[in-house]
Amino acid sequence: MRHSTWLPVCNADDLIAGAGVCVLINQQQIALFFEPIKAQVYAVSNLDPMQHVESVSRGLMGGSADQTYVATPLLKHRYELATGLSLDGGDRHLSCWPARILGPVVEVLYSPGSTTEASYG
Amino acid sequence: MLLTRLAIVGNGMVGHHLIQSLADQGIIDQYAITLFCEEPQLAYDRVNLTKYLSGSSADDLSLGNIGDYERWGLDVKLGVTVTNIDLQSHCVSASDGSHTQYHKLILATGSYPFVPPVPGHDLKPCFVYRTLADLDAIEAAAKSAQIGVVVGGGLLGLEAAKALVDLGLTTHVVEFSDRLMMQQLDADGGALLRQKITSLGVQIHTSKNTKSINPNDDGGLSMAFADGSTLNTDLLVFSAGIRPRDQLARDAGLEVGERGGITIDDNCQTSDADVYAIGECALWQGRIFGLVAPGYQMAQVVIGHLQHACRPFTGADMSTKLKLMGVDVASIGDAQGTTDGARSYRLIDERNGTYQKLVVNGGGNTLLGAILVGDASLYGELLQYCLNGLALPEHPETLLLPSAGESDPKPELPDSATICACHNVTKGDLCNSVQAGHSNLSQVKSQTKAGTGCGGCSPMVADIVKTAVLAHGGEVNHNLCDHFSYSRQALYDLIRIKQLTTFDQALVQYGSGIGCEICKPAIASILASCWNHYVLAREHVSQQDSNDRFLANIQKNGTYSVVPRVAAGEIRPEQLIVLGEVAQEFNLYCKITGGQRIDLLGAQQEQLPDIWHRLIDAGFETGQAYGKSVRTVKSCVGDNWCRYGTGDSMGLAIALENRYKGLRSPHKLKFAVSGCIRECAEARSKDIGVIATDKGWNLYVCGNGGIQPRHADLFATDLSTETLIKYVDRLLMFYIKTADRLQRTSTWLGQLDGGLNYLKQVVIDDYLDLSAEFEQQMQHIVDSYQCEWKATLQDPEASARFKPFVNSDAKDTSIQMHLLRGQTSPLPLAGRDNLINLEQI
Repeated sequence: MRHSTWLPVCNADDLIAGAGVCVLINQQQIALFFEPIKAQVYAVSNLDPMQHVESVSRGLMGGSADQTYVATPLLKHRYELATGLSLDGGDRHLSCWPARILGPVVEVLYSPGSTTEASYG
Repeated sequence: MLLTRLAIVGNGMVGHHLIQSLADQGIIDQYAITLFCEEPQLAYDRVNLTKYLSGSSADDLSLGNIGDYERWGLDVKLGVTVTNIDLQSHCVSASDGSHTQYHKLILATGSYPFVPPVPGHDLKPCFVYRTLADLDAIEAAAKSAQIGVVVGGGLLGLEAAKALVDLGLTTHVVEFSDRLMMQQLDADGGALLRQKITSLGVQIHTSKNTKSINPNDDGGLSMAFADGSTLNTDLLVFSAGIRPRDQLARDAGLEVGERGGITIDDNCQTSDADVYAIGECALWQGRIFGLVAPGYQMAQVVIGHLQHACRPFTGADMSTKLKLMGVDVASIGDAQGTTDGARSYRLIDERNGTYQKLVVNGGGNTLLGAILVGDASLYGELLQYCLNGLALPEHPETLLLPSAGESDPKPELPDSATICACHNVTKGDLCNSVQAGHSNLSQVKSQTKAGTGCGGCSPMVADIVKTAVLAHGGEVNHNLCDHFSYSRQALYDLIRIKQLTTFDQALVQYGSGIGCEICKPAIASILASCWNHYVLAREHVSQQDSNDRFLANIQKNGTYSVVPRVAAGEIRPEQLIVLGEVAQEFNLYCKITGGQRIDLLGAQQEQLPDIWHRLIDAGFETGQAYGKSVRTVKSCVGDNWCRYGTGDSMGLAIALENRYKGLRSPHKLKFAVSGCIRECAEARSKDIGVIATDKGWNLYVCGNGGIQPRHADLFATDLSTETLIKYVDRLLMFYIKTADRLQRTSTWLGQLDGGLNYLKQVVIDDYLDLSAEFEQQMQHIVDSYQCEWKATLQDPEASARFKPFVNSDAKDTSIQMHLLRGQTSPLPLAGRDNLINLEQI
């Protein structure tokens, strides 16, 4: 039984529209991507699961209205931001957490000591 | 070395091909060749003989060139007929009284027109249709004639009829059998062809057996047929088939076939091992091959055998495609369907006047043959099905009626598929030619010779070359990506003309969705090429590619490399010291780059602004090694130091690098300047290469190293510095305007319609009237240059983005380094250690 709580992680001003930034929570690097049209923020693990480098937040965002993804900076592997799943057929995925913008604050639904990668099922 | 003495009898198309191939293969000087050519001129294109009467001159048709032949050391006996071959003494006697010794003799005597032995066949206005001399005689006789008759309704007879039509005669074709082209066509195909040719004003008489030819009172002829009918004419051309010219071989005692033809084996050797026969005079397994392509193959077999490299003749495909008086006719394989169990599909389209027939095996999965009349566009595809035994679609009729059934994808041909039978060129050969940098059809054709024989394969060659060229660098769909249904060039024009300055403007007006990793950097690059605004401004930052976003080159462990500009590689000692100090202070790995500057690797994201503070204070600028932009201008020391130098390459290189630094483009741009012809700066491997001459500068363009090395093309010579810069301004702006994304100048030039000449017209002759605009656009880039790192350090918001975490001042501790050869290096991941241990080597 996890005790997830909405944790304030940074200011909304810290986000970059159409791109990623990184936050550090309990020594865990989490990438936050902001999609301004839907005012949606996504939280995924910053670790590139193929290259084993903390770098996902530096990737490029892309996609359509119903699917937003990040292309990693090293080798442009694409992961869907809502689920963390690979769009290039790889079996590695990003961990992801529910995230929201509440007024001036960005919050992530985070349970200490675990990554809630089961959030997509 | 003792030369092999070759005597070659005959200089028709096949005899010429043999000689040309010996020369092309660089082995002709191994032979002392005596060539006997009976006609008064060297080989000509007999396949296109009719063109002689419709405007082509003998020169247009000529294949052999006396200058070439003499250069290759041939003893050419023109207008000389061989009268005797003595196999015993290896000696050829000829009409000029000469006796020529040979080691090997090659008979390429061709064939002669068959004239039916009817009474009157030798009357004066009777001709044959085989040589230029025959055509001259027909042309002369036609001047006083109204009517002409061709005896023979086969392929050659119809060619001859075309000639008579061209000469203005009322033309009749008299054919013994019940249809035209009975060798190649079936009854329906022959009937349609007859209908089409009749509509062109030629009168066709089939099933006519000529009994006699009689002189008329008016100097003309009257033909009498077995059915009692008659036909009056002013002149008559026999074109009722060909017979092998084997008399010489027969007299010499060589084995010949019952119905003619010099018997050869798989090596094209006759019954005397020192005598070969090739082309239409040769009889292989009881067959005569009356087409040029098999003759060419035989010539190659002989060359192989002479060179002790056995390439046996294995027969030849007799499929043909031709245009007879404007009517397309093609026949493939077993067109008549004589194979056991053969079944056919036939489509007669009376509205469009076409007839198409497929002959398939009983199982319906293999194409045995085909006939096409009126429209032969399917020839190439069907021929490939037939020659390569490709599996037919489930419903073979869909080949004839693509829209009638499920559309089957075109078969992927194997690389081994022969495309050009005349010159034995495979699909693989064509693709290799494109790979080797031949980027348009004419280049590929001239390199491989594909399509330069009968020309039947030309559409297929064009298709394969197009596909290969596209696969090689271009894209079939020129849309930039799913978000923009425009090519990069169109988007460039839109952005410039509509004066769009941000990605969001472009996306709202011309795109959809939120963009992606393709369109974002591409449009960011176009915006920078047009307006040269600061790339890390808030409205631009999210579109920059990984490297541009941090103005440094990301490395495999997530750290960055820093490369300050060192224009032309010229660097002062105190600058070198600063680089060393910075590397020590920030614990960076140092490496000299290929572009004559110094790479400092291993910088963490948050260190970049501090590093650049130090570098900018010491007078350095960004080297833009991270951008699709002008990189470096490499140079040798030039005539300041070098005792061979003819120009100030250092001075020009520094000027060029400072002029074009900061220019963003579809892909990276590399320059070099060499101070003399020795080319120490390797300028011809660069996008822009300059080599000093004693009168100025030679400009080379669109070279490349990398994956696809290409020597730059010489663009203009002996330029002044001022003109050189004008040309470079114009050329680069034209490239930026028209290239695809991530297309280097070399592939861009390869795909530019009109190629180098067109580029010269645009840049040098101002063909598009855009030169002034291009120069002004470039001048804007030059004038608006700013060092991006200097701008970043002056912008607190941009500087702050280099912090690893927005919610913490912590450093990123995930990166692990170790010492390698005295410098810091990325710690390899477990199991990924490929480091070479120098002590073990």
